Amino acid sequence: MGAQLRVYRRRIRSVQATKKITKAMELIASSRIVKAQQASDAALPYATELIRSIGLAAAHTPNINHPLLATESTVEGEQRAGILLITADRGLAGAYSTNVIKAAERLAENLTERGITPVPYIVGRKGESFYRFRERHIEQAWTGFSDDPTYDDARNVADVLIKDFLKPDTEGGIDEIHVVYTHFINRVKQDVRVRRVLPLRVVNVPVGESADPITGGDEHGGQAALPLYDFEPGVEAVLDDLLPRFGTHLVYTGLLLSAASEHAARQRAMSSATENAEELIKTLTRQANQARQAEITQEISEIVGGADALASANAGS
Amino acid sequence: MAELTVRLVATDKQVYTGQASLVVFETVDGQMGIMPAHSPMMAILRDAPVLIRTVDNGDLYAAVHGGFVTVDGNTVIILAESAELAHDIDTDIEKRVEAEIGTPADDDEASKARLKRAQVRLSVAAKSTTTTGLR
Repeated sequence: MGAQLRVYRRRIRSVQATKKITKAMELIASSRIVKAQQASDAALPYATELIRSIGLAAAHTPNINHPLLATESTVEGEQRAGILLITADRGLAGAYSTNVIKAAERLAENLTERGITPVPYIVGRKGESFYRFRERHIEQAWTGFSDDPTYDDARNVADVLIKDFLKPDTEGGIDEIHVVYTHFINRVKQDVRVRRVLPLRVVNVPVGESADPITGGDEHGGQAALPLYDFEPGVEAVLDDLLPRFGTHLVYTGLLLSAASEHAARQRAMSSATENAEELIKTLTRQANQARQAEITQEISEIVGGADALASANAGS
Repeated sequence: MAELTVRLVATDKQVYTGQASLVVFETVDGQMGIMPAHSPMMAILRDAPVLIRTVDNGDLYAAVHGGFVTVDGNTVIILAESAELAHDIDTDIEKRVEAEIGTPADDDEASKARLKRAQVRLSVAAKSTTTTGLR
C-alpha cells in the first residue's frame, strides 16, 4: 500500500473516533437539557409564593426603608457596581461563555462611562480564566457547579453578594449588583441577559385599597384588597428575612437558566461537530479512493512500461 | 367544616399540597397551631418539624429548614429553603452526617447548621414511625 493511501486511511480512522465522541457528548447534553429545564420549572412555585409574600409584607410597611431596597437618595462618593458573571466550567459549548463575557464587558464599559467602577464576581471556570489571563482583578469566583447548580450553591454566591452590598462604601461596599446570565427560551434559542438584582424594587400597594392586580413592577405584582396580616415576630423582621431570600432566588434562577442554556449550547456545538466530522470523512474517503486509483494506474503503467522496455530490448538484439 | 389548603413549597420543588384540619409549626417566637378560619398571618419558622394533620391520611411530618409561613383565609403556604416529608428522609444518611460532625466547634457555623438539619430530619423520621395511622 502506498504511503499516501496509508495517511488518508489513518486520518479517516481518527476522524471517525472523534465523531463517536462528539456524538456521545451531543446525546448527553441533550438529555441534560431536559433535566435542567425541569429543575428551573420546579423552582417556579417557590418564586411565585415568595414574590406574593414580599408584596404583602411590603404593603404593610407604610414607609419601607430597607438596606436591600432602592432608595431615592443618591449615594455620595465612589460608586461601585458588582457584576455577577455566570459562565460554564467546561468548554466545548460553542460561544456560550464568550457571549456572556462579551455582554459583561459591554456592561462594565457602560458603567465606567457613567463613573461607576465595575467589580467582577464570577461563576464558572471559563469566566475566571478569561479574567486571570488578562490579569484583571476578580472580587470572588466560584467554580464546579455551573452545569448542575443547587440552592446551596446559589446561597453561597448570594450571601457574599448581599454581604458586600450591605458593607458601607468606605469599606469597599458595592452600590448595585447586576447578574449577567444566559436566559433559556427553548432548545434553539438562548439570550444573554443582564438583570439588576440589588437593590430590589418593590411596588408599594396600600393596605385595604384595591389595586390593579397586574401592576407592572420589576418583580413584584400588586395585590387586590389586602386583609390585615399579623406578623411573627414583626413586619420588619419578616421583610428582613424575605428580601435576602428573594436576592438568593434571583441568583438561583440565573444559575438554573444558565445551566440549561449551557447544555443547549453544548448540544448544538457537538451536533455541528458531528456533522463536520461526517463531512470530513466523506472528503477523506474520496481522496483515499483517488489515491488508491492513482496507485493502481501507476502500477499498470509501470508494468506496461517494463514490458515495452523488455520488448524493445529483445527486438534490438 | 372548612378545611385548610396546605402547600409546602421548597426552593427546588413543591413538596406537598393537600387538605388538612391542622398545621403545627414552630415560629421564632414559639409553637403555633393553625386551624381553619385563622386570621391572616406571616411568620418566620425555626428549623423544626412541621405537623400537617391531613383530612384523609392522618398526621404528616415534614422537616422544614429556612421556613416561612403565610396564612391567608384557609390557605397555609409554607416556603422553605429545603423541606422533606418523613418518608423521604434517609435516616442512615442523616445518622452518618450526625456522627461525622460530632460536636462542632463554636465558630463552625456551617457544621452546626448541617448538624441541626440532620437532627431535625431524624426527629421527623422518628416521629412518623411512632405515630399510628401513617404509611
